[in-house]
Amino acid sequence: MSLWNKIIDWLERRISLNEFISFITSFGIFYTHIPPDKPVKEAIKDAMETISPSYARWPYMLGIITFLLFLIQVVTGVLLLFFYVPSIDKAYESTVTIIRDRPFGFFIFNIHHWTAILLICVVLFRLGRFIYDKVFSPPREIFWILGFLIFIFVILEYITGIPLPMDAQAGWLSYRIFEIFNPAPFLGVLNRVLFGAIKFGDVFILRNYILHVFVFPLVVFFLFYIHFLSVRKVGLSYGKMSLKSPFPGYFFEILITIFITFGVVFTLATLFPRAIFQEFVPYKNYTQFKVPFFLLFFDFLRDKLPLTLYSIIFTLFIILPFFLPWIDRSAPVPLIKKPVAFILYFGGLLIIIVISVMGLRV
Amino acid sequence: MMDLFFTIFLITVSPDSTKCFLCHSEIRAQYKNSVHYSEEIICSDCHGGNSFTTDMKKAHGGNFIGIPGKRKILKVCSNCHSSADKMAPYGVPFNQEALYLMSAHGKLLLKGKNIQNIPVCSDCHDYHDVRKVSDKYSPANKMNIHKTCGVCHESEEKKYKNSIHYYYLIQKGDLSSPTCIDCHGSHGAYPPGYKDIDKICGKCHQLVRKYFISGIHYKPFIETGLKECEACHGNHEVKEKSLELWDRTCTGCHSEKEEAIRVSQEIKIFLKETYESYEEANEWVKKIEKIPLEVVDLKNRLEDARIDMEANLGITHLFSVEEVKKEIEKYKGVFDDVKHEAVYKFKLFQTRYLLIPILWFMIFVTIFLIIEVRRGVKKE
Repeated sequence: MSLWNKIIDWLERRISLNEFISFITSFGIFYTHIPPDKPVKEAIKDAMETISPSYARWPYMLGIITFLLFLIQVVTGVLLLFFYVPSIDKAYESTVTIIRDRPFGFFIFNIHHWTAILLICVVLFRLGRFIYDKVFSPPREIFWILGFLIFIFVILEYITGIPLPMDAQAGWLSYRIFEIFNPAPFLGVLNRVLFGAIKFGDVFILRNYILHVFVFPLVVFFLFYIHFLSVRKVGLSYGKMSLKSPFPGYFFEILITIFITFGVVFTLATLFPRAIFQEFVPYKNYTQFKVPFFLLFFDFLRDKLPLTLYSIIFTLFIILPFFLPWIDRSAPVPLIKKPVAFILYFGGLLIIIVISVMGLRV
Repeated sequence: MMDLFFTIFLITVSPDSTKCFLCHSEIRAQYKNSVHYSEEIICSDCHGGNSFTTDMKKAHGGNFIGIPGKRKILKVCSNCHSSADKMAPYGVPFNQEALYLMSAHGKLLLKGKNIQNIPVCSDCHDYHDVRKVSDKYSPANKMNIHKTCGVCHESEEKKYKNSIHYYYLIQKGDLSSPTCIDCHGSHGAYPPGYKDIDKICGKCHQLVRKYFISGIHYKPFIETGLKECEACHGNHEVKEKSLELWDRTCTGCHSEKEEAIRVSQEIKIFLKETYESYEEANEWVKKIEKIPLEVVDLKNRLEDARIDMEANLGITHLFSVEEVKKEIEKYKGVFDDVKHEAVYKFKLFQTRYLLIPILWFMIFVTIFLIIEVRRGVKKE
């Protein structure tokens, strides 16, 4: 018995290795559950021989990339935590110190910034793809609901991260985002309970900080876990099913995906770093800073519509998508083959895009 | 017993116990805001009569003067304000009456024509509502003086409101910026003669005055009766210094073919270049600050040089190209240095773009290796 086997054997007698491996591989590595009653090696071998579509192939890889970007956020976020000080006096100074003076601080900060943007883009794109392929027909409604929940929490993660650098852009956008969320019935109440009236001080930074580094990441992680568990239960969505196991080629495909994702993020972070402006002064106007692209739509509506109508639309946009699997009961074929649904969905998308572009002028 | 006596006495003479307000109630609110109320100067101290009786005859009897006339006001105020022993404890000067009588206002009052239009103490300090000058509601407060003078000198106030002095004083709150009384005097207000303008402006712009007096313009200005600083910069409507001034004012006296115009244009072009190099350096510093790179040193050098240069720009009043270049060139040098250092820092920063092709090369090599290994695994 080799040393490696001895270690495995030793560990297996003391901890439930199968469950542990089942847990860590549930995040997009093994397609199937690893039964706890078999010896670990055998169980892994069985799992690798299960016939399934490769996760690392288009379009399934959008899920993997989402999780990968989330992991990059966790790693860079933890590195930033070592030097960031969540207080109104030190936040700006410590952010500048991180980017300017700490080794690799520039890259870590900007990778964190760009990954956040990419994460929202990929999650949005993934929701689009769910609609296009009609992934949410039974029994995969849960994919859509979880995907949409992940989208909401990733956005919350993004907007709680916005005030943390405390430069002019950060401070101004906190005001603007507060304005967008405040009239909405549920989120507005939550917003007011958590933040009260917006008043820049240690407590404001601390609340955003706790939500950004602790609460929302945990929620997103939990949602990912549930999502991967549901994939294990109901299987990946429709597509070409190969008749053999994707392993071990699948490992290599995941590795390639990781390298290319990192390369893209690094390139964007280096070429287009987030500019750090002067320290925020609460009584000044910084109208040159626009809200993030995914809030432009609501920014425009808030500006032009009566507040009650706006809050109703805002609430519908958050609540209605959860019921989409029950609203849209058309056949599970690509959207292009269903002209009415195609016109409805793309018309809606086009309206949102046009209004968002108009929102740039608000 | 003595205590009781003093208590009753103090209550009796306190301004709140005067009986005048029983009839003149509308004055009470104004009087209560005044410094005279807090210092217990009561009605009868200015108007005479008796303030502590409800009998109208007694109240308006004796030395009662009623509403004093313009000349009487001067007397009433100077009763206390020209008395050294009364004013010294407050640190208030007691020469105001003497100054006023020597001023243009005072002389007109003494001449005695149309004295209703001539300001006396109460026109600038108010009468019942006399406040300390430091009180922001006092019409004699520095921030309100232009309005107080503007009651009579309306056109001057209008011009002053367009001036750089007004901008800094009222809009920026810079109390070192002058208002009417800083140039003309307050109690001893007098319009300056054409030979005195350099002295008045020189109270603040000392270096400029020094250069102007030793420059080539001083003598001819005095000889021809030109109003020194005012001739180019104006008086009440003084604008911020600008390069455009070089084009506008010189041609007022010099014809375009003269040597003087060539010299002024040369100085103007040199100053323009200096300002441009400051702007360029400033833009570069702002640009690299946003990355952010370390700019504290560059910023300090740039601002120190700019402030120093602004202070020394008075040398242009010598109207000598050599002198101006000698003085200002060193600041231009600092601006150029700062710009070059900022550009160097930015280029050094840009070297990290090199990491991108290196990273992608490594990624492609790794992917190639992964594919090779995969092929090997497949064959097995």
